[in-house]
Amino acid sequence: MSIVTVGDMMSRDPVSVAPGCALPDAARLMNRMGIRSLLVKDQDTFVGIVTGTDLANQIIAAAEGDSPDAPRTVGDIMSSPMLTVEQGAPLRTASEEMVRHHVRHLVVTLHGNPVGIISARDLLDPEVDVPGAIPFWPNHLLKEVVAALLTIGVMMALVVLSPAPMLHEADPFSTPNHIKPEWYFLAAYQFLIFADIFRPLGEWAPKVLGVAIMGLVTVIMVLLPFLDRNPDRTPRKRPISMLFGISCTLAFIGFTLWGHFS
Amino acid sequence: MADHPTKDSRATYRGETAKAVFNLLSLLTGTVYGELDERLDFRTALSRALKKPVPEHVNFWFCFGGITFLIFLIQVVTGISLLLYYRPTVEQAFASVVHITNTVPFGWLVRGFHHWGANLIMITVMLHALRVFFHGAYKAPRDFNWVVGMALMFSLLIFGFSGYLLPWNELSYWATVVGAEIPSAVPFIGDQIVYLLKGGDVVGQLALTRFFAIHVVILPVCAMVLLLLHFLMIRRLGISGPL
Ligand code: HEM
Repeated sequence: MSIVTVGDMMSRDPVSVAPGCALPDAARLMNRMGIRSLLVKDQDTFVGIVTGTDLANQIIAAAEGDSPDAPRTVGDIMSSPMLTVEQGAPLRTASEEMVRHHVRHLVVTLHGNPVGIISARDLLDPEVDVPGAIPFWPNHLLKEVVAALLTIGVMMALVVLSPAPMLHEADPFSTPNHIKPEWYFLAAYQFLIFADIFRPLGEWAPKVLGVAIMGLVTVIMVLLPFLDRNPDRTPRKRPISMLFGISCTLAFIGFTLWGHFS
Repeated sequence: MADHPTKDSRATYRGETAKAVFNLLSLLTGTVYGELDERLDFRTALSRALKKPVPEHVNFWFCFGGITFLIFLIQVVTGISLLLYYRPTVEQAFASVVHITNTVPFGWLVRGFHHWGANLIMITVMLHALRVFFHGAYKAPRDFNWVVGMALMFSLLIFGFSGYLLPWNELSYWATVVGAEIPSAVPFIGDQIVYLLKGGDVVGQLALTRFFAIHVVILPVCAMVLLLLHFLMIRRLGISGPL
């Protein structure tokens, strides 16, 4: 189902001329307004539509036929009755109508009254006709607002139930027993402690190798798109990067918990 | 056309009222804004942005980038508020935080939001990165945006590390003493990095001043540039398609 309507993409306030309008005048008007179609209005009623194609056909006919009663006015060559589409109809309806009738302009009506013109050119925007999509405003934004309010609600609850801690002032001369970093650094911290298993290689080894391994994993993470050149995006079709990603996630969680409980 | 009442004249009437209100507003704002809009055509741009279709496959997992941004904004607002009372000196930092928490009206609330925001944003940014990873949304043409995202993640981590020292309490002080030593493992320039960070051999006033500058000026500027790049690229490339 399409969400964008004909009314969204049409050109409003169609320009109209009287049936008696001379063809060169009509062509001049089109050029001046930068449009390729004019409505034809007799007194107060719309009676037809004339397009750039009609004018071009007329020139060809005139050159070939040279008949004495050649058309001189818009009323002689207009298409009547007009092909219409309702303003509230899905945009797709407009393209289907155009294809079915081999035309490039439709008159857009509201309760049967012309309110605009939709041309094939108005259908060119590739973004507007995504099947199954919902408009950003208001449908998607409503979800975003719900998510935002939930976030603020959760924060509010945490602030009230568990206020920001108020510890003792720093004292550079007394080291507390348990120094632990914030939880998001715990995994790295615990990994550096774990790197002590490299001590048999030398005094330098734990720190240098610990930092080097973490640095390597970080570099791989940052450059992931350039290392993983497999264009497939489905998880099942990229086992190596999945293995890497899942191991990193599990290692992060594991070392964080280990750091927390040790 | 609407001059003739029809069977749904109520709907028409409502439509007419809306139109009248819209016209009145256009008249009022147009006096100031109309000339500008004629040149810049914001109205079209705005309506295109508002009508932009959001594809069906965009589900719950796609909201974490936005939530991360929301918390980032909360951090900016609460952080600026804290700046009105916080004093970045070794003698006064701790006392000013106590003052904010216990005396300043709603100081506890602002500090609480900043504290929990700092923790929650780490969770949401990780969930966001995991979503991007499992969707394979980091692949070309979004590869550079992944790198920008990683830079954002590191700036958030440094935000956390630098902000932790500012209250100058026992835990933050010693965690910084230990943490600031880690770069010394970097080959060749490790010790220089540590010295640059601490401004001396010990964590003292210079370190506090530097961490303060990093936390409230240097990182915010970097992060905002990165965020701008991140969002411009998302806007240009669109959200990744369904799997
Ligand atoms: C301050 C931190 C960040 C903020 C505020 C942020 C915000 C956003 C937002 C709002 C989106 C739109 C889609 C969505 O929400 O899922 C997005 C998309 C994206 N982000 Fe982030 N992001 C941040 C960090 C990151 C990180 C750490 C990474 C990865 C390392 C990343 C990589 C991406 C990529 C590749 C996209 C495009 C995804 C797609 O088109 O499906 N971002 N980001």
